[in-house]
Amino acid sequence: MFTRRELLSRAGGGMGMLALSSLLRSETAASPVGVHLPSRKAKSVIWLFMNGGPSGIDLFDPKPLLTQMDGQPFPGKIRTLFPYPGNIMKSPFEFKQHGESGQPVSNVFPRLAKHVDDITFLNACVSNEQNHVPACYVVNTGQQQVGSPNLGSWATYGLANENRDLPEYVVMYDRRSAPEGGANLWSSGFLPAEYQGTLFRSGKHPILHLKRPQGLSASTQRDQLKLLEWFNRRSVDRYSDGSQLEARMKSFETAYQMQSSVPALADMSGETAATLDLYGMNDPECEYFGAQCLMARRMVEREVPFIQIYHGGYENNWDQHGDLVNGHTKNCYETDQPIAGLLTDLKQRGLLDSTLVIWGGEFGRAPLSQDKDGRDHNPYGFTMWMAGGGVKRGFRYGETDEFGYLPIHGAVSMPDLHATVLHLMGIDEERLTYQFGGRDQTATNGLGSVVHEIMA
Amino acid sequence: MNLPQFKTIRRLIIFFGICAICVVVSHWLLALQASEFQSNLASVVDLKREALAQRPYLERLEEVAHRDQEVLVETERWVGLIDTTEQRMLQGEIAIAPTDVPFQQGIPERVDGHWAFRSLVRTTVPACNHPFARNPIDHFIEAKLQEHGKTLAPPAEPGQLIRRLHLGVTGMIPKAEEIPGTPDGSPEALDRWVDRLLGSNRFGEHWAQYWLDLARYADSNGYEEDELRSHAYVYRDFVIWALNHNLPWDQFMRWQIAGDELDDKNPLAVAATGFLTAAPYNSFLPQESERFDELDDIVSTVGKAMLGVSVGCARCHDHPYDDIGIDDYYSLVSVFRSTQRGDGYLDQVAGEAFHEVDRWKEEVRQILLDGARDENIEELELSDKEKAVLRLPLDPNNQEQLRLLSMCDRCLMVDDSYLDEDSEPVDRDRERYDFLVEQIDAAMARLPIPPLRGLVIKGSAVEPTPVLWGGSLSQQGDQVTPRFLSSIAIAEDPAVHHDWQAWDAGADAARPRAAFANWMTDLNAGAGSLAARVAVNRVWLHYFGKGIVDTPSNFGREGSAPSHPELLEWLAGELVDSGWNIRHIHRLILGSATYRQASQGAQELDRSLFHGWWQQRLTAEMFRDSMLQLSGNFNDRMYGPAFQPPIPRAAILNRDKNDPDETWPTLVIDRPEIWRRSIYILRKRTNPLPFLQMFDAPGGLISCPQRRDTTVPNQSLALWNDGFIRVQSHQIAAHALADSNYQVPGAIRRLFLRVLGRDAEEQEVLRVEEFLDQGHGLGDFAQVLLLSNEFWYFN
Repeated sequence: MFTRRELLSRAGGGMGMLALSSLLRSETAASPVGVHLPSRKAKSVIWLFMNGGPSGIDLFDPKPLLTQMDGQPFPGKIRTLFPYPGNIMKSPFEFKQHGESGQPVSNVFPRLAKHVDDITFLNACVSNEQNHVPACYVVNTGQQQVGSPNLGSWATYGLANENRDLPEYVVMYDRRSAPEGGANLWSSGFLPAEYQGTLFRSGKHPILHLKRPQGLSASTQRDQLKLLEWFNRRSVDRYSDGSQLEARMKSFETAYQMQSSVPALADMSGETAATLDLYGMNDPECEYFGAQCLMARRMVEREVPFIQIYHGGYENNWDQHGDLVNGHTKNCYETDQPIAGLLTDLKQRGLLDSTLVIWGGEFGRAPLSQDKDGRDHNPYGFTMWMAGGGVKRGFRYGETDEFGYLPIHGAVSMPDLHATVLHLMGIDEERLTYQFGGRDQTATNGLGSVVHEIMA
Repeated sequence: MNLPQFKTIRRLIIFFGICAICVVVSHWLLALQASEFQSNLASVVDLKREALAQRPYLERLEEVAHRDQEVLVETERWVGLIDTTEQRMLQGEIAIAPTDVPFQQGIPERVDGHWAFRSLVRTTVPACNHPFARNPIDHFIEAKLQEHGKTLAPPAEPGQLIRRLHLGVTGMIPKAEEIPGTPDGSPEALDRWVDRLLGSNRFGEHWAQYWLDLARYADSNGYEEDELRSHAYVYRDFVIWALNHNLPWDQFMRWQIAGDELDDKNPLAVAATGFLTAAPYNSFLPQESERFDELDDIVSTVGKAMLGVSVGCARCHDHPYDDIGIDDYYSLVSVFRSTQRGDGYLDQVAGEAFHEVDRWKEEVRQILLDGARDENIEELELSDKEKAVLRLPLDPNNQEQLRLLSMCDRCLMVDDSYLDEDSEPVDRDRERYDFLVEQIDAAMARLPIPPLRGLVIKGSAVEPTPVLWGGSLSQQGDQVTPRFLSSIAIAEDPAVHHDWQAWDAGADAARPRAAFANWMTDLNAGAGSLAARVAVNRVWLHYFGKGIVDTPSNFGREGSAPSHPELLEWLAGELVDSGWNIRHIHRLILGSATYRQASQGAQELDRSLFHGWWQQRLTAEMFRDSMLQLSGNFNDRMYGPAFQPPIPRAAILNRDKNDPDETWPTLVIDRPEIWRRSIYILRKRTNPLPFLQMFDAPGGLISCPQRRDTTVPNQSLALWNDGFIRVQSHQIAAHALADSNYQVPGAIRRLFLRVLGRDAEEQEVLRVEEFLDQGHGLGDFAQVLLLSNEFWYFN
């Protein structure tokens, strides 16, 4: 495996090292200053987005009362998306306590269960939106209304990295279908477009336009680049502002190099059989998500700061309004080995301490039945978890009532979550501002507080 | 293959046959003929065998041709309606609401407080004897420059100015045949050229994009389903039409708020209300909170785009800087609360004949939805008795029904996707259904073709609205009714603005939107002076790349102060004194020596003083349109339904497995439709065209006053490796070659002239020849020109 520098110098062959590490940030987005905290626990974030709404009360947060009251009407009012909720439904899965921390995990996550001692569970997360797409907006941006920047956009804006030979905010989605809301889910909102998520697909050419069209050879392109530079240098004098043009010139060099550095990143042939196995890549059902998790690790090694992987999309998602047992069993099976493998791998490479892994969906599921054997949405109190990157190990924070409906204490709103993630990434969220719509906006606009209780 | 392409190939073949001595060109030609041309086309489409296997190629071709034909027919009808409307307006058949409402005269005006909210002051033009100065703009600019020990820069050279004017006014570089006829550079000749460009249809198409960015326009709903809005385009076309016909700017704004009320007989006025429907919309089980999000979007967008005030800040609490209370905000929400979005007839008179048949159709639809619901119930694993309970009308007291519903409520949620030719009514509706179908058939045989529809707004009632503290439905305060913002209007007395009906005094019924529209543009007491300042600043901004006020959608206390307050005031005065003639403002700016300054070294210039010309980058649309102009592929057909250029399959997020072309066509067929101007490209919110998205085109999510110019390597990759651009490059090269008798040095010079608008220098020709000697093609060189800073940044 090459280091980044090796890769770049190979790819650059004769091109000069000018733009190898410095890539242009557009002039309009002045890098923020004074927003970095003294310590940065999480160099990278890997956000495993379980699209559709995984059921915390069936996976990580058992509620014995549901078993006792199975089939009885819910005592009181409950809000769901659909108008006719059924009666209380017990979890169809069996829970066992795991690890030294003794945290409960149900039997559909047997491999992940071995990692509970590395995990902090957030058992009372709140997104407050019943519809998928607005809830996805809340989870990604803190706002239910479209148009605000994604957390990944804020993070890359705040980090203001100079190293841009790989995209900084990467999004991978399920090969079977993209999530509802599509490109709006990784939009940079009112932040400049350079902070939007870059889609990273499977295969040798994961980024759009990475592959040269037939008939355009690498040597032609290299000579084009030389000619282009020659022209651009000649024309600089014609302009009032050279810095913009300089940046653009460099972007072509970087683009040229990306055509080898990105395929090299995507090329997993150097990974050992044991590693592939660890990520479940020999199992057709886990293969795809496993490859994305492995890709995430490879990106972490190359210091890509924000990586989001969607499991489930428009179809094949976690939205089990009916047939919870089969739906969740399948989803868990597809992700169990890859996630467990990712945690193992990060740990054995010494990367887990500096990598924050986040797991969760846009909401959880209601304690009642729907369509006999499914569950409707519950955005008012659900479970997410974090591992590594400066959070406690073997810990749980927050609690919902004995039905798993509403938080009793330790509620974590999505702005809280965002403030916490940015804090772990070494960014002072309150000072990271961007002027839009008549005022200085921040990632949480004062609505989020860092959850210090979960810090290691 | 279209005709120009065919000609190109044919010419090349002939050329190849008669003149094989030019090694450089034949290199290129061989490569081109061997594989490149075809394979580039193939890579544009990224056409894979699996796609072909799914559906026969010919069948898909036929479908595309059929769809294009339908689009043509609809466009023709729409253009016909626009033409008739114009005629009727000219002949005075359609009365137009007066441009100013002469009431509330003589009330005390706001003369102090925040500058933007004051009444307009007619400023004195400073004296100026600068030899270049051409109109008062220059006087204001020069006065400030002199304060800083500077003076206006000399005019740019004619070639540069022509290019600047074309790009600034029409968004495209000049056509090949226009270059010989361009003026020699005398200021008066340039003035005539300016008038020519302002009179071109390309002007409205280019400037409409700026307004559509503000209006967060797109052709799909966004959210979960992201359904296409097949009738949204009438609003886009209204904006183009209004700019090309120089609709008075106040009327332009009023129609977008209440065209259906103010000029209900005018289809264009009705189409204008698409502004209020342009935002994202969730159609799936919409929640009440989302309705308030929708209303918030309307109020915020009206505030930002037309008044330059961030009204939306007062959604949760009183505005922290500008004097807008939370109750003021919800009073504005209540102006729009009764509105409903939907596809309505543009010609409301012609539409009247269809109201009855439309009601019947709607009833049939409901009956068939009931049928679909019934079918779902039938398929449930329940006893006949239980099914019978489910079929009863919904009754919240029927415990048995509630129990059953909890097991199958989703089966009762049916929408149009459940309906097809085989849909049947339930037995009890059969008789009614047959009767209705018969009525509809008879009516349709009798009636003409139904008039065109547009996605427009309806609803005029006054609907009280609760104040929502913190924007939350669970913290409802007092109910409020419409009233307008006294703090930003000319009359200081709040009572004037609370009596909102005074702004629509002649109306028979309460029309809060019409009243608001009149108030917004009223120069005696309403917010007219603010609206005028905001409007002229936007024109200035898009010509210079920088506004006189740097925060074009925020003229409030937290916005930037104007760099040239007197100039802004003077321009706003010119706008209103000319009867809101926005083209007058364009002409003033384009005629000024300030606009015509040359670009100079950065050290000497100060951008905030508008000293010298600062380069501007092309937008994604300007690049694409100019490239099509160069390759000769440009199709100038205006108006009508949006088109979808083919995109790489990998860029399609959610394609229908059975029919990938449903989301975005990947099948490239060279047809006129795909060579149309970028403003007609379909804007799909969840899956925008990658090229537009990459180059900072907004996604129709929020109002965008000014695009950012970001620079990221993905852009460079796209310019290099996108097969579409490769094909255009080769075609541009082929034209240059043909136009220079197939002589390479001539073709190189020709390319410089065509693409960059200037003559090549000798050294440049030599350097390009060196490049070609390395074995590369003329098309590869043309692509380099398209990628160059000189093409992307105009001076």
